[in-house]
Amino acid sequence: MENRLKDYRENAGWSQGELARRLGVSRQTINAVETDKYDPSLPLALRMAKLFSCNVPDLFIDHWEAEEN
Amino acid sequence: MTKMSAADDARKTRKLAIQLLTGGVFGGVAGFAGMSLIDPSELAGDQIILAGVGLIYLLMGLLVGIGIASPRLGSKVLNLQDAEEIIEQRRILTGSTISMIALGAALMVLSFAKTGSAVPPTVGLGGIFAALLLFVVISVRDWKYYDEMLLQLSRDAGNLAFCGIGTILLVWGSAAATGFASAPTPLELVSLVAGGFLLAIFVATARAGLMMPR
Repeated sequence: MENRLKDYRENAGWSQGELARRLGVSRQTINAVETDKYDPSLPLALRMAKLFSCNVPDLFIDHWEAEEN
Repeated sequence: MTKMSAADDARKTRKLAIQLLTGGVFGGVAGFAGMSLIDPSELAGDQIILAGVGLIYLLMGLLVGIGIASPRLGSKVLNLQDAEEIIEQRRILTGSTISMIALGAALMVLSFAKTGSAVPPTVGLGGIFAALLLFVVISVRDWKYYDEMLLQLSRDAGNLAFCGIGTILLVWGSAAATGFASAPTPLELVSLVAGGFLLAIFVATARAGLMMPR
């Protein structure tokens, strides 16, 4: 899933390692999320949003649109 | 393309070349050493296949072990960003190294363990039991250090291995039962399971993008 994690992380001035440490995951996980290879669980996505003081949809972009009835 | 991303791409390409070269040299030397110690003409096909699978486990374990012992060197040959990341992941990597070396060695010993051969069957079976026990103990101990992506990778690899090995066994067994193929030998079954798990781990890791040079 397309995301803006790298932008938020770089704006905060953190390395992947620093963000990984704050979230309690590995650097590989941060790298995989940033390169759209891994979609984090809902709890991890919520923790990311909380850390950057934003909403989950600001971080993760879903292009799905509901069909109109 | 910016200068920075071009430099980063060049660094990744260099790293990939070093990794491929190291793997090739390591595998080549080990294969050559194995061939010079053992006469392949004395071995059956299924013994050679299982010994090969065991050798791959053993070499991978040794390569990661060298990386843990020397994180600076490890950051060049393993697909981790830098030496610090190896230190961060040391606990999990150490467990994997021990498990892979033990399982690789046990598979190689089993490939030579046949009645009347230099390795008694009890040693072959005992080695497999010991390696599996070690693997279970290490996995249970390290499970709490796995983060969510690693747990997901483990589940994906398990699913892939189950479906892949199961499908091959179903087809092979059916073909053997109807006389279209010869039935798998016990060593072929062990090779299929051990090799299938290894392949599944590679596929799951590649799908998560972890094979891309970093």
